[in-house]
Amino acid sequence: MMKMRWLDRRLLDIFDRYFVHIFISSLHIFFISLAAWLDRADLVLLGVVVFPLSFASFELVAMGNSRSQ
Amino acid sequence: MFLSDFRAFFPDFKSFLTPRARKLLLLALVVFIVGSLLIWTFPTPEPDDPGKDRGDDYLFLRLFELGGIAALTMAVFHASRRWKRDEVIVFFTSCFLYALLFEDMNIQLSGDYSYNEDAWLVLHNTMLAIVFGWCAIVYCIVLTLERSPVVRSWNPVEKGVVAGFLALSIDLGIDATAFAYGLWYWKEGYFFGVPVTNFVGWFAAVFWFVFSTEYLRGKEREKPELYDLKRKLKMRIAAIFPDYGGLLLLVGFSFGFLYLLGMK
Repeated sequence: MMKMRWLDRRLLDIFDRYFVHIFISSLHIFFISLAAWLDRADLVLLGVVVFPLSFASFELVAMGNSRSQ
Repeated sequence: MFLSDFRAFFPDFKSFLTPRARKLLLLALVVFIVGSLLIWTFPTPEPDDPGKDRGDDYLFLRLFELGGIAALTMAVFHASRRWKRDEVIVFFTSCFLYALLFEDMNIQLSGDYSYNEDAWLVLHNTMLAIVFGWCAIVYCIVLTLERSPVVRSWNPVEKGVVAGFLALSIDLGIDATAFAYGLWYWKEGYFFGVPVTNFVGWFAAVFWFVFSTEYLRGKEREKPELYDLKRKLKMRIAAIFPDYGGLLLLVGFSFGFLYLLGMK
């Protein structure tokens, strides 16, 4: 019982903290998989390039820029 | 009508145009001009036969629809653990109505795109999974702005521009693939068949929604005793309409600019 509660808490903590990361990643991975299934190497490449850029943009904004503080 | 609505809702709009806001707006303009020219100069292949059944019984369409429902459910659950109940209701109701009206109005007025007719959940012309996804994406953006130690203290215009860029960073990678599969169809476009105006529209729509939401949230924080749930809801929903005025102006300008270049 105690173990379950700990697991629930831990999962909820991960969900609270990483919801944006999980959502953005799932969305991009879904569309990259779709492009791969369509046999469109150009769209896979586009997804592979845009995914980290998009992820980094969210991360940069979330972290803030100490220079502008 | 639009101007008086706008002034009633945003009487201190000019005070938001700080040097940083001007720089950000200028950056957005430069990004769109350079992006449009690049897309025009280096044409990308259009999808072959976009209306074709891919022989998967629309498995990806179904996954997309179920994913939209899951994304919205998780976003509401996440928000309810972070925000007060009133804010969750007001935010998601206004976002849902905004996205639905925006998509439906665009399809009806421009006729530039349409959604896959085989979708399960459709309201009038709009696939509901898009509206659900919209709400989840905008929630993620607002959450990111809220968490940022720097951006959270910026004014609504500045936050709106950052939000617009974040939304653009998502759409850039997914729209072309969605069109190639047939989740939705564009009449004509240069970026893998997607028109540049789609990206301008994304930026503008998210900019206006985040701007008005952040502005009204600021007002609510100043005098919380004046704003009960009903009033908050009325204000946020009413703020959608000046948004449309601004949006039409912005999209109108971009259309004009692209038509001048002969590259809509």
